[in-house]
Amino acid sequence: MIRKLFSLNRPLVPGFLKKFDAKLMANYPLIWSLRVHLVLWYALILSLFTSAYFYLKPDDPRQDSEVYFPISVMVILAIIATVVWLLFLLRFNVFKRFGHYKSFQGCVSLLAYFISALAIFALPFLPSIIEDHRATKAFNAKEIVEDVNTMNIHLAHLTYDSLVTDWYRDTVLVSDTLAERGRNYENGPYAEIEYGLDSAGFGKVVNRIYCGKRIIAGDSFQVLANNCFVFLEVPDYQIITVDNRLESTGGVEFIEPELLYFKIHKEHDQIKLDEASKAYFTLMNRYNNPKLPSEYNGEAFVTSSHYRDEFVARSSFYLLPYRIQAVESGIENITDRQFLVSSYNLDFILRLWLYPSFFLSILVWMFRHSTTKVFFLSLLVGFIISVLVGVFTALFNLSLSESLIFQLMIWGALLSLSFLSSNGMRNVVRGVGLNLVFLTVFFIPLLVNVIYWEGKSDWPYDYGIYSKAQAASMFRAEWIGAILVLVFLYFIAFPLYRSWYSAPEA
Amino acid sequence: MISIENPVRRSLKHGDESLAIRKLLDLSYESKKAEFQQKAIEISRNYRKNDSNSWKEQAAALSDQICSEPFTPFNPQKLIQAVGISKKYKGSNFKLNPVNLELNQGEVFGLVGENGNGKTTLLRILAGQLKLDEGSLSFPSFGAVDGFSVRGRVAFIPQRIPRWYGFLRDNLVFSAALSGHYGNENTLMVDFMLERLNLAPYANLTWDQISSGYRTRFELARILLFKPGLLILDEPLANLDINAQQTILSDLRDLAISKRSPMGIILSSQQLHEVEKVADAVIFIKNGGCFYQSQLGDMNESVIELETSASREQLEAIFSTDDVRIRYNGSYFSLSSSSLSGTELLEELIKNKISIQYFRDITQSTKRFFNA
Repeated sequence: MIRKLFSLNRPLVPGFLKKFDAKLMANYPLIWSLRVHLVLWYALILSLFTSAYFYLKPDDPRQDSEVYFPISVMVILAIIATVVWLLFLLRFNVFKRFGHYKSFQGCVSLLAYFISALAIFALPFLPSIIEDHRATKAFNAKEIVEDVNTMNIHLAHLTYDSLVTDWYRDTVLVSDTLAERGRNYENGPYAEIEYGLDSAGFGKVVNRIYCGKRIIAGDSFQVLANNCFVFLEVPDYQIITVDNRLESTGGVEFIEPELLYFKIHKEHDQIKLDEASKAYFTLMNRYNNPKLPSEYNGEAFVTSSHYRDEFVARSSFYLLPYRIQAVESGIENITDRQFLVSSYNLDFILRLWLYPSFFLSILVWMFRHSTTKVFFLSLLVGFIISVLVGVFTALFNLSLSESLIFQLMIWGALLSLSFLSSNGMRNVVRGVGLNLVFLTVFFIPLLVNVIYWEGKSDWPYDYGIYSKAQAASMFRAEWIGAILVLVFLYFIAFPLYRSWYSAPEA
Repeated sequence: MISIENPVRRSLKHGDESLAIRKLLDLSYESKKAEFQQKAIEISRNYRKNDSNSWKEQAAALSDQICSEPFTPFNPQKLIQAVGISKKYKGSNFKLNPVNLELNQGEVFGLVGENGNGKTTLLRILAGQLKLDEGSLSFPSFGAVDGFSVRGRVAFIPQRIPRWYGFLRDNLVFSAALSGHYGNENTLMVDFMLERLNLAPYANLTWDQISSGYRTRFELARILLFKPGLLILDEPLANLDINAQQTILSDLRDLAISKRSPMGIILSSQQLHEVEKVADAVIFIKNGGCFYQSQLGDMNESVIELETSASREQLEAIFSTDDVRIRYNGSYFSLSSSSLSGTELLEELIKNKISIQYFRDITQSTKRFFNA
């Protein structure tokens, strides 16, 4: 059956592509033999069919996403497509026929494999992209933020009698020197506040920087003495709380608790509760997760922990008719879908796409330029070396830097092995060394980069700056790695593969 | 510049139509002119259709036209030089003893010997597939090129043809493109090979759909499109019927002396008579060593093969002298003599009214060593 399948004259390929294929074969045999054009075509066909299906499939973005099932299906499809592509690649091999094939052609082959692998590995991302697009099209981020603000105002008015009106108080002592802190320690424990503006807690000793930040960012404050401050925080009126990433995409901010506080207490007398109720329920029906039962009242999400008990108590009685959790669930589902592919996870998604594609293309290149025996032996040796490195690292309790330096040394040894003279023979050891060096050359700049940053672990600046600089450096190292692969292939690996493969066997 | 005689007219005159077509195609190829090649392909197609005899006039006219063009004879260069090459496999008792060999462009070299005596080993060493233990191997006409380029110019067709995929024609198009024939030239060369090796009816078939004999022809066509300098064939006649064997051998002979892309050919075979007919030199390999090389000198003993209803005693009565030795292998007799020639031995048999079913003078043939 497989033979019959392969002997079919490509029923899904249109006439123009068949003509193009014939022209490529007669004029550019190397490019033709790589089958990039067919991979791109079939990937396009598959993408169109699956995209159409995912677009037309009935789906309510307020419900829980079921995208992981189609992703799994697409992963299986991508694996099948990869196997079929590899089987077709077995048919014609310019290198193994000792055709016109030099370093440049070697690099072109690698890039062609990469493009093909990118096309195949893009398939599993399609369901997410389409789901993201459908959710974004159905619900605008700006609209969601505005509606949430409106719902919170209505809710506050509708439950006005049960609102907490007491402001939260946080009284602290301010001390700038360690000695003073030590003395004051007896009066109250020193607050270890490293980041942010978390509440210090009653009677805690804080430094002046923290105090300054709280004064700027807090809702209000009171000075009891030169070194004694009371920070005041309004109760949390943001009853419906959703993903705050919507603010940046929608360009509108959620109303802060203190503004809500003032707005509600100022306007409450003029509000017609019937109209507010009607308006709220209209919006509630728009956003609530229809899959959740009417009595659903899940775990309350409270942004500020100070009023947790009060809020939970209120939720179980006053807020119950308003299905807050169902609304939050609906909006969370919408935003989850909208952020499936976004600037927040783009780095991760791109790496998830590029890395497997890149390594598949390197593996395919290796397979097409070495014997079957040496290829699989290389994979086995690579696995054994990885295990040994792990054992060695654990056994000698090596630090990350030491372990990476050890791995660099192994790479150097493999490189030497691939240069070793094999008395003019197609030596298996040399072939394995060459394959492993080529497979891992991309990682060399990354390893060096990690070793460099490990040496900077006592970075004196803010952690955010540190992690940003480290991420930027890693990104540069990845680019350098990709370029290094091509340069290494052109000047070193390809001539070595050429001489190794053409040498006689023992 | 010289003119050549017209082999097409000569073949047509004697009714050798298939040969005439092959000669016409070869002439068109030698001319290096695409228009002649295209016309020859058309004529070959008409011949295959067999609907009229008009192709004969067209073939004669075209061959006249081609033959009137001046040809530049090629100057054969030394292709391969092997000095004392030997090989021993690890963990095996077999050893290929030192062999010397020289081959020029346009020459055909036959390699004969019983199974398991080292023919394939020697061929694989010459093709660069196996490392030699001792001796030297050089390709003087290739110039200073690396091993990869040498492997690209030395074609090896193993006894078991490797499987290929897709359609026969596609494979030829790919091979032609790999050797630098692009666009229209590619189509022309593929069509030419399909006609020349009689593969045209099978162009759109796959590996599974053609016989092993045509697979051999396909492999030959594919390799020839690569324009190799040296062609090495391991038992190419093994899968062919007797007619196909003779056709392939004469094709190889003609292709070797092609003025457009001359090559040297080394082939191994068990079909001694057929190989000896086309080979310029023959090596007989026995027990891993070069037992006889036909280039090296004449034999000092005549040997004939004889199949007869006469008994051994009758033959011994005729050749009573010690000089004639008679052997019988259960199928036929072999008679050897240092004083009588093959013709004289035959004359004696006829004179004594011995009925003869089969006779062959194998004095100059390596077949004699199989009987030894």
